[in-house]
Amino acid sequence: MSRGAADFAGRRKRLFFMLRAVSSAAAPDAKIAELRRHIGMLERAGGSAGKAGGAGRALPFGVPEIDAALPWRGLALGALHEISGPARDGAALGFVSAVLARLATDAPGAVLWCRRLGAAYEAGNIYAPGLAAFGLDPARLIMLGARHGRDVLWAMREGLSCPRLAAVVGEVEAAAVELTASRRLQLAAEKSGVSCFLLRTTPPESGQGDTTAENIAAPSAALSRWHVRAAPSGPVPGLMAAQAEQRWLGPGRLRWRAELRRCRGGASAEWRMEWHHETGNFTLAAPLPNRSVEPAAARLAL
Amino acid sequence: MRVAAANRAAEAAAGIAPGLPLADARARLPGLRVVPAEGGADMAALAALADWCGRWTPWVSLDEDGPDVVLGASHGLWLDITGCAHLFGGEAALVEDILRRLARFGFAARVAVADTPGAAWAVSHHGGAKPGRVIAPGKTRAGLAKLPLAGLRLGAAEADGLERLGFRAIGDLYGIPRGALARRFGDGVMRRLDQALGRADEPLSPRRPVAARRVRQDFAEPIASREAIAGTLRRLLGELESLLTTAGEGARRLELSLYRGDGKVERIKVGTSAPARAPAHLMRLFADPLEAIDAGFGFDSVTLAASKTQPLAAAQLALDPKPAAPQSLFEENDDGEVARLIDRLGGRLGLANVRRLALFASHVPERAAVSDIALAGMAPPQPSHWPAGRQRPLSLLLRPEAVEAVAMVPDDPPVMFRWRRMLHRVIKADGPERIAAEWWHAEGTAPLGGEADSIRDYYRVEDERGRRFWLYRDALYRPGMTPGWWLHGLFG
Repeated sequence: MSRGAADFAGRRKRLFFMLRAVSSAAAPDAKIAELRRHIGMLERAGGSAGKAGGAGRALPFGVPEIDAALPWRGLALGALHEISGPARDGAALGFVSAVLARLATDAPGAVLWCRRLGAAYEAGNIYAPGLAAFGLDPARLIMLGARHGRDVLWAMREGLSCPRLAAVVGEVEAAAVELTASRRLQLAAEKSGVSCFLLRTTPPESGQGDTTAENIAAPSAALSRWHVRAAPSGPVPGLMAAQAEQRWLGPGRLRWRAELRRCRGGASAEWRMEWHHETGNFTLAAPLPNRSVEPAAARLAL
Repeated sequence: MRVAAANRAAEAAAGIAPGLPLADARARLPGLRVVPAEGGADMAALAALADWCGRWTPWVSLDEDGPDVVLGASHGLWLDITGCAHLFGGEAALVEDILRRLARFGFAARVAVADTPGAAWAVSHHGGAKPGRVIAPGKTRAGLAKLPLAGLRLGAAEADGLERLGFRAIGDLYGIPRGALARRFGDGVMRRLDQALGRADEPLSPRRPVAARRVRQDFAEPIASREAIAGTLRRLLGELESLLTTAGEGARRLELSLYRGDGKVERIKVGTSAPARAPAHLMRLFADPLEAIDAGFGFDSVTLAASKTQPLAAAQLALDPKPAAPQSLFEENDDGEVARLIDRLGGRLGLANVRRLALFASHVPERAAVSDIALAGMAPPQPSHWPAGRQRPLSLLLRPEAVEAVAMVPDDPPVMFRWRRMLHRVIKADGPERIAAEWWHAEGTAPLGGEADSIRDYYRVEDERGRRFWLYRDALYRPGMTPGWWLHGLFG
C-alpha cells in the first residue's frame, strides 16, 4: 500500500519535470494546458473529488495578499491541512479556531475534534468560553478523546466519512502521522468534502535556536502545511493617548506568525496575521512598533 | 460424610442414592469410586449450563428450594418454554433435543414438560425410568396421581408423617379435606400440592433479564467462519428491525449470544446513543467485537436480543426529496448521520469519550465550561452565548499550576515567571480581574480550590515571544504568607 503510494508520488514528480522542460522549449500553450489538466487529474486521485465538490471550493482568509499566494484563493475545502506549532504556545490552536470560526459561519454541521485523552495533562482542555470568543459556538463541537494516537487517526477517518460534518480536527504528536495515514485522510476528505485539520505539536521553543524545522521534514499528503507561532500583539484597540501612559498595557489583538511551509502548487511564504474577535476577520498586522522584543533568530528568518 | 450424588450404575447395582452415609455405601459396594463433592464448582457449572439453555428459551432459572439441594448446589433447572416449543417442532421434539445435546456433554438428564413447575419437578424426579416425559396440557392431575409423595418437594418431617398415616402416592391426597391436612402438617403440604396442580401460583424468576424483542437462528451444522457469523447477524438484525418497527421502538442496547457446541456462550453487548434499528448501522457497531470472539468448534445457535429499547417513531418518507438545510448539530433532518457517527466512535472508544461542550452560567472558570456525553437522542443544543469583553483562554489547564513569579508591587502583574522550567519575561499585561468563590456553596464544596473564601486576581500576560497566558494570584491576604502565583490557561 505504502509502496504503491510512493510510486504514485514519484510518477507525478516526473510529470512536473516534463512540464518544466516543455515550457522552457516554448511549446504551444495548448500542450501546456493539456499537461496541466493531466496533472490535475492525477492529483485528484481517481477523480472522485470533482463529484463531491471537494475541489475548487475554498475558504478565503479575506486578506488579498494571503489569498493570492494560495492556489485555491484561500484554504481548499474538502482537503487536509496541517498546522503545527510549538507546545506551550496557544498560537496554532488559536489559528485553527479562527479558521474554524470562519468556516463554521458558512458551513452547517458539527465539528469533530479528536485528541488523545492524555493530551489534556500537557496542554489542558479546550475551553468553551475561549472558543465562543472566537465566534465558534462550542455547542457545535463533538469532542472525542482517544486512548492512542492511532485511534485519533481512525476517528478522524470515520468523521471524514460523514459528509454532514463541517470539519474534522485532529491533534497528534509531531511524529505520529505517516505519509500513508495522511494520504488516507486526504482521500477521505476529498471524497466527502469535509475539511480536515491536522494539529501537530512540536517541542516547545526554548532559547534562541529554532529546532522545529526538521520536524516538518516528514512527508505528508496535506495540501498545505503551516507552522504557526505567537507574535507580539498589537496595540490595544481604542486606547486613548492618555491611557497609553499607563504602566501596564494589556495584550492587544491576537497576532500570529504564520509560516506556509509547504503548499501543493504554491510557494512557501510567511505572514504576520492579526485576528479580530469582534468581526471574525484576519488582517495583516501592521509593522511592529517595538521590534526590539523580537528574538534574534526570528529576525534572521525574515 | 454422606453421598451427594451417585451415577446410575451405582444406583442400579447397590441402591446408592444421595444422602446415604459414605460408610454404608462403601459397605454395599466395596469397589466404589469416591470423589469429594465441590458444591461451588457444581453450582458454577449449573449456572453456565443455565446460560447455555438460553438457546431454547430466555426464561431459565435455577431450582433453589427443592429438597435435592445438596451442599448448596441444586441439580435442577427450570425452563419456561411458554410459546417456545413450536420453534423446535413441539414439546416432545424439544425434550428430545435437550436430552440429545446434554448427553453430548456427558450429562445424564431427566426432562419433564408439564403445565406447572411443581408437576414438571415431580415427573422429572420420580416419573420412572424414561428420561424425557411430557404431561399433556390439562392432564396434570391424572399424570401425578401415581407418583410417590416425594414428588411434592416436601420436607423430611412432612414426608415421614404422611407416610406413617399410610399415604403413598400423590393421588392419595386428592380426596383429603384441606383443613385436616393443614391442622396436622401446617399449610406446607397443601401449598406444594396446589402448586403442582396449578391451583397456586409459583413464579420463576429468570436468571438473566428477559428481553422483550428477541430473534434467534439455529444451525444443523455449527458455523465458525466470520463471514457466516456476520451473515447470520445481518439476517437477525433484519428480523429484529421488523419486530422493532412494528412496536415503534428502537434499540438502545443489544445483546448477541452465540451458543457454542461445547456448552460455552459468547456474548457481545453494544449500546447506541439514540434508539436505532437500521441493520446497516447496528451491524457496524458489532463489527469490532465480532473480530474478537472465540468460535471454537463453531456455534450452533445464535440469539439477538434488544435488552433495552426506547420509542422510535417510524421514519416518514419525505414527499419532497430535497432535504432542508440542517440548522444545528443534531437536527432531525440530518438523516441521523451524525448520530450514527457518534455511535461508531463511541462503540469503539467508549461512549463516555465522545463529549459535547457547553457553557454554564458561572463566573468561576472551572465551572463556566461543562462537557456532557454526546447522546444523539438529546435535544439539539442551544446556541451558546458568551458575553463579549470577558477575555478567556482557549485552553484551560486541568488544574492551575504553580509558577515562580516576580512581581514588583503586590498588586501588579508579574515581571517574569517560570512555568514548567521555562522563564517568561512579561512584556504586556492586563488585569486584575477579581474572581471570588461562590460563597453560597457549602463549606468544602465550593469549586474554587475547595475553599469558600478563596479569591483570585487574574491577569492576561504576554511574554517576549508573544505567547499569552492566564495567570492569577491568590488575592486573599494571609498574614505572614506571600501570595502564590498560578498559571491557569493559554490564549490562542
